[in-house]
Amino acid sequence: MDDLLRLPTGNAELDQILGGGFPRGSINILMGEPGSGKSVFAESMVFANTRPGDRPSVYLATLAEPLDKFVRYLQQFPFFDADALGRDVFYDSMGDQLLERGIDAVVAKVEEVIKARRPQIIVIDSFKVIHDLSSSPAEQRQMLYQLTSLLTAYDTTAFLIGEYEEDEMRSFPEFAIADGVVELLRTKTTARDERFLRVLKLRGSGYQQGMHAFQITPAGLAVFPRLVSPTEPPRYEQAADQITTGIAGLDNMLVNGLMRGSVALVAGPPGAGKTTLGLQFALAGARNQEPTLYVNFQENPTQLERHLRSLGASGAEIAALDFFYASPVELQIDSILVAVFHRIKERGIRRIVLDAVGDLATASGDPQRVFNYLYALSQHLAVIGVTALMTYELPHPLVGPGGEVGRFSALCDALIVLDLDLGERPRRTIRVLKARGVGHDLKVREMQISHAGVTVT
Amino acid sequence: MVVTRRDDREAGRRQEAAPGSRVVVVDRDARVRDLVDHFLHEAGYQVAGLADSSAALAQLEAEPPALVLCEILMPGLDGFALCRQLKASAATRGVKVLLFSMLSAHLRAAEAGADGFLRKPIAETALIAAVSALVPR
Repeated sequence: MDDLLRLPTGNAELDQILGGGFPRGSINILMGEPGSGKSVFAESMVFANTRPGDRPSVYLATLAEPLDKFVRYLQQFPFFDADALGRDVFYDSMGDQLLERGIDAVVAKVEEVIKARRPQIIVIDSFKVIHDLSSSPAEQRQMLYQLTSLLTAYDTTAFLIGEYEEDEMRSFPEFAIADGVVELLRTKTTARDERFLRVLKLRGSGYQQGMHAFQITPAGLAVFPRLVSPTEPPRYEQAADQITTGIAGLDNMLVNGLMRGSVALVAGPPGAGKTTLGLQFALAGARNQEPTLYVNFQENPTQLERHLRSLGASGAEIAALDFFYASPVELQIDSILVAVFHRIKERGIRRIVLDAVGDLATASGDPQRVFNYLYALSQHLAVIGVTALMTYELPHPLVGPGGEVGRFSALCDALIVLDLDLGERPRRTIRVLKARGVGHDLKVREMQISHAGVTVT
Repeated sequence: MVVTRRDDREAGRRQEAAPGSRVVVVDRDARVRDLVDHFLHEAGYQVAGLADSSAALAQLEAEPPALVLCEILMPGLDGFALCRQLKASAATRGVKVLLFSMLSAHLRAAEAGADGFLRKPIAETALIAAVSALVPR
C-alpha cells in the first residue's frame, strides 16, 4: 500500500478528522452557505503551510467578492502573516479575465499562475461563480477536463470553494472530478447557531465520518472531532476492584462501592440531592488522592465551593478537585464533551462527575446525539479505568424512571434513584435499581444531608 | 520530430536561450509536456515533446536526445516497453531514460532498464534534480 503524502491543515483536530490532512496533489471542494467559514478554513490552511523557502500558495478570487475584502477580514486572525504576503502567499484575481473571456479564462489563468509561482496550494474562491458563468454544460465540462488535467499534472493541492448545496453534488460535474469534498454547515436547532463540518468524500483517506463541531474564534478555527466509541473496543483488563462513593451507607447498598471504570447514573427530582451526592463522590476522590474532575453546567466553581464547604470539605480538599464549568446558555455538547475527554486524558483523571446530562440534552435539543456522545465517552472511560457518576433530573413526583432516563440508564452500569417524600415526615430516599456485576441492595433507604456530608441509613 | 510548442512567444524565447542538453518528453497529455517543457527550458535544457510512444522509437533513433522522459501509462506502447526498445537499439543505447508516472513503479522501471524513475505529479525541484543527475544542462 502506497501511503499518500498529506498536506496538513494547521489544525491538529482537523487533520485527525481528515486522516492526516488533505492528500497532496488532490483537488478538493470546500462547500457551504455564505458565512459558513469556507474562506477562513482555506486561508488558515494556506498560512499554516507557509514557510520561507518553500513553494508559495496562491489565493485566486473570481467574481464573488473583490480581492480586497478577503485581505481586510483576514488581518484580524493571528495566523495572518503580513510578511508572507507577496513572498509565500499571493492573492490574485481572475475577475477581469472572467468578465472579458468567460470561463475560458480559468485554465489560462491557473496555467499562468503555475508557471509563474510554482504554488504548492491553489485556492479558487468562488468556483461556484465559474459554474454559474458557463453558457452550457458542454463548455463547463470541457473547462473542467482541462483544469483537472492541469492540476493533476502539476504537484499542487487545489481547493475550489463554493456556495454549493448538498443536492448540487449529484448534478454538478466539479464534484465528479474532486478528490475531496468538505461541507461546512450552520444549524439553528437551539437559540444559538452551531457550526459543523463533515467530510463527504476524500479519496484514499480513512477520514472520520459524521458531523464535527467547529467554531470560528478570534484565534481561527477550533475543531472538535466527533467523539466516537471504538468500532472494535480494544482489549483491556477490566478492573475487578471497587471504589468508595464517599458515602458508607451507599457503598453498603452496592456491596462495596462502585466498580472501578464503571458509569453510574444518579437520577431524581429537583432537591433530591443529586448534586450533593455527586460532590460527595468527588470529595472521596480528593480524599483518596485520585485526580477527580467535576463537570457542571449550573453552579459555577464559586457556588460549588460553598456547597462543598457545607458538606465539611476542607480548603485543601476543594483545591485538589478539578472543576470544569460551562454555562448552560452557551452549551455546545460536541465541544464540551470533547474538551472533557481531553482534560481526562491530559490530567490523568481517575473519577469524574457529570452534573447533569439532562442539561446537555436540553442544550442540544437532540437527546439521541447526547446519548451517542455519552455512550462513546463511557466506552473510552471503561477502557482507561475512569469511574464516572452522571446525574439526571427527573420530574416530581417521581413516577418511575422511564423515557429519557431509561435511554441513559442503558449506557450505565449502575442506576441510583433519589426521591423526595414530602409526606408527614419529609425525607430524602435512595434506591439502587441496577448495579451490573454486584448483588446490590434493592431496598429504599433514607438519605440525610448535613455538615458531616451525606449519610444513608 | 514532432515538437509540441504551445506558444510561439515561448518558442522565440527558447531560441534565445543558450543550447543545453536535449530532452524529449513522451506523454499523452499536452499539459504535462508543456509543463515539463516550461520547467526544463528555464533550467537550461532544450526540450521537445512527443505524444505517440509507438512512433517515438524511429524518431528518437533518427535524432537521439541526451535524455528521454517517458510516461509509463501510454496507449499502445507503454513506457517500460519503449525503455527496453531504446536500450536495445544501437542508436539509442546511450540515451538516458527517466520513466515517470502517477504509479509507484521504481522497481519495475529499474527492471525495464530505466536510469531513473520520477513520481508524478510534476514537482519542478524533483524534476530538475532527476534530469540534471543524469545529463548536464
